[in-house]
Amino acid sequence: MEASKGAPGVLPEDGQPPEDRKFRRELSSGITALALLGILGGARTPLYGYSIAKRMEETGEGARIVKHGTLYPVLRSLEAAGLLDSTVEPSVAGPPRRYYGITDAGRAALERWRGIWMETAAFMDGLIGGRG
Amino acid sequence: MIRGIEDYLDCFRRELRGRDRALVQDALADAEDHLTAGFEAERSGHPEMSEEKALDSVIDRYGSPEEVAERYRTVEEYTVPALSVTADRPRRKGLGRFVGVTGDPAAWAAFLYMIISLVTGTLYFCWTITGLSLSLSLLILIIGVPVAWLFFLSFRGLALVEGRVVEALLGVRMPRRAVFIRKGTGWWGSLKGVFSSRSTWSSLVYQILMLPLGTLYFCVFVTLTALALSLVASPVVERVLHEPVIDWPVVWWIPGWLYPVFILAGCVLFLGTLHLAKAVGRLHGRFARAMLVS
Repeated sequence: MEASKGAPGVLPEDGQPPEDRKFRRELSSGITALALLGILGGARTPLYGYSIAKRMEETGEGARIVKHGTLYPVLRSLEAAGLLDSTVEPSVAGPPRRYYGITDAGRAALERWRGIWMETAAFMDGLIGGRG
Repeated sequence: MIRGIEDYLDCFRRELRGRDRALVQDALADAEDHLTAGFEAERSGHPEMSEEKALDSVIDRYGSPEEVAERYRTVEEYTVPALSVTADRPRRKGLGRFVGVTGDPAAWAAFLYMIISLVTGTLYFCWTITGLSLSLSLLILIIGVPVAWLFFLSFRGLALVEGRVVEALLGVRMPRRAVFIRKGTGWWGSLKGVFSSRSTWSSLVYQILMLPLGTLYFCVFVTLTALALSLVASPVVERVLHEPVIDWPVVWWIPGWLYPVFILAGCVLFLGTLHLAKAVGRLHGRFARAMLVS
């Protein structure tokens, strides 16, 4: 792709203080797995990496909270844990794509994790006055 | 300051320096695939947007090389290959260690690898030699080039499959996705990419070598297992079936006092075979990494 080689581009400054960026990063590392299980649990068909990222963006500020690049290692670790399974399918637009789907164990984990998330969110709301 | 996808990948590679080579290959392929797809989607969705802005937006959403590399590092620490968990077990010593191999899944998996390598080795060899001969002989015709290209792509696919088998059975971290083939470089660029890649040629050599290696592994391990089983079974056969196990050059009945020795020797030989399978599996894993990881 020509554009990828020479196109001048500059990462925009997001104007966030470093401590905010660090906090977002730490928060995101804890919720990415739950977000992925949530998306794949609600999807009718298996999805590949880029399409999962697009789904995440449709739900508000997805990319601000979870960077797309951090999805791939977590997808693999969830697959290794048996919570997702995957198949490789050829793509007309480029190299073959790996499609991920949720397994029964993944659905069970999603239910449990949803409960944990609710507890955590309620605890934090009570502590810092969130949705008061 | 990142000036393009190539630049991003260079920074990303620097951030991943010193990490497992298979992890680096996976991470770079993920990034290149995603950024390329994202850039194209951005350009087609917002034709009025300049290339720089589209690229900035895609890279911003993907995350900085430092941030993404950090995530690969941390996730990889707890996503270990299926059988490497055995490395964390408390190490036993002496006799316990020797006998304990029967409870070690890594030893059994390596043993299985040695047995199936005859089949996989023969398949790889036949496909590779057929592909090479057909490609070379058809090169005098115009269809020779696309045929060769397709065969070489299939060698990469086979290398990925073998990598998955090696990771599953020998517990060595191997690439979980194929080397990324860049889009938009035209068929000539793609052809050049495949033929000039070191990994294409090294995986081809690996697949050819798998025939002699697979045959050797199979013969050695089947022979050792058969010998061990026959030593254990000999006293039983003689006592129950009243058939001499050794009848050439002369009929020789095993004396009763030697029965325990035979059984013990058979068990020791089988345990030794499992240890040998584990050791050969480790060596083969290293060889596979050297040949199949770009």
